Amino acid sequence: MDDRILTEALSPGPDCLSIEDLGRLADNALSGEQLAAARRHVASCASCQAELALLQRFATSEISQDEQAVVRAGVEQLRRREREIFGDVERVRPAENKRIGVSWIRASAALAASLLLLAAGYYIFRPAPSGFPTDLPADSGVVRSLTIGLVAPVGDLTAAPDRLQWHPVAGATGYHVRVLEVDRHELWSADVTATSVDLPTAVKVQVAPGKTLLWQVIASDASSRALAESALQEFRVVR
Amino acid sequence: MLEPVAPSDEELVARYQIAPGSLRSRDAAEELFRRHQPRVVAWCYRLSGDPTQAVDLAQDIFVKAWASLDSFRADSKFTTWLYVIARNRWRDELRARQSRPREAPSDAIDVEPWTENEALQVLGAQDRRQLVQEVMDEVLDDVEKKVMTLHYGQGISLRAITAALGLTNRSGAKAYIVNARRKLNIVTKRWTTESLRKR
Repeated sequence: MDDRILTEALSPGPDCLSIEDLGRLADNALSGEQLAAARRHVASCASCQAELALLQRFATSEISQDEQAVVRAGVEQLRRREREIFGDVERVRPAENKRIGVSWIRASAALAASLLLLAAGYYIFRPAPSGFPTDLPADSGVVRSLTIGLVAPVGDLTAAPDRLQWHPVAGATGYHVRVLEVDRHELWSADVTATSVDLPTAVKVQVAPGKTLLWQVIASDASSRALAESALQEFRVVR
Repeated sequence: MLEPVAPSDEELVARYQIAPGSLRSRDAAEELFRRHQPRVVAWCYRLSGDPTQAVDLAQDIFVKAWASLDSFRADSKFTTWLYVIARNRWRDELRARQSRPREAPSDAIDVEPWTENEALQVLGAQDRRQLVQEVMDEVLDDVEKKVMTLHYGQGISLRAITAALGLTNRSGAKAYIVNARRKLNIVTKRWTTESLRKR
């Protein structure tokens, strides 16, 4: 035995669970064969067991007496840096900002910049295709180069809505629509080709007065590639 | 009268996701992040051992969390989601430290040297991996296994392991390493090529 052999034997192997899957395992968010396979692997894998131990310590450990002064000072420093953390997001009034998210502003700016670059590039490298978008980060879960404008329902309503309606997206051949509770439990979803869909009675009866619900639309093209996604829109019926 | 109940982490994320960029969403994110700042700073401090670096690491983690909050899906707890970001950031930090050998933490410890065993060398990497894990299961206790794995398998310093796992014994992770190596040496001395083939 030597350090090299130990390092080789104890490093994460190709079958090891990703940090994300270990998290899902810890949160009981895996099921069926995925859960069984994850449990089987972890039972015999020192690397995954150690990772789980770190995760559990992060989630549950108290700050010790020795750490308290450092943590308090660190948190104070972090709060002074919140402007850097949140970027230069201006704190605008809700009414002014109700429908225009920062991500949309950023996306618009990025799109404008891309168009300028594209125009310049066209003259310099005329035969080259645009390839938009080309360099999305590998870990970005959602492509938001385009957003979908939602028409109705929006905000406070006097009665349960009969239908959901949104603006069309160029190139889209279908839309996935979903209605969720505020904890993001999905109540209902549908795939349609039009830019509106009637809410079934089974969903309408769940729109109780005062209960906030969310809805969202994802547009896709003929090859089922997501083209655009709306923000989550809330609505509720008020008495 | 009922006391108002603080929204859960996941409810705050849902509020944020309704209209990212609005004042209400920003407030929800701020409340959420402030709730977890002590946890993240403490974790970064345990791993880095340096208060200044802990704040820098924590800032990186929250910048990433802010940039990715749209993609949070409620199939895991927010704490777990945040941990994934923190763990990946620490992994990057370790890689950077390993590429700067002069700045790498020193873990020079006075331990029993490894027993040479040629039989072990002739095994393939996969067999050695399996064998080492089986032997560790047999002779090491749970904490010894975790300390050995985090130190040798992931390159985490003994000081950081002591803090991250909350080890409260006097010598921390070092004591577990010393014990584990002694136990593994006892087993290794008995190994011959023939005995390994039979396992």
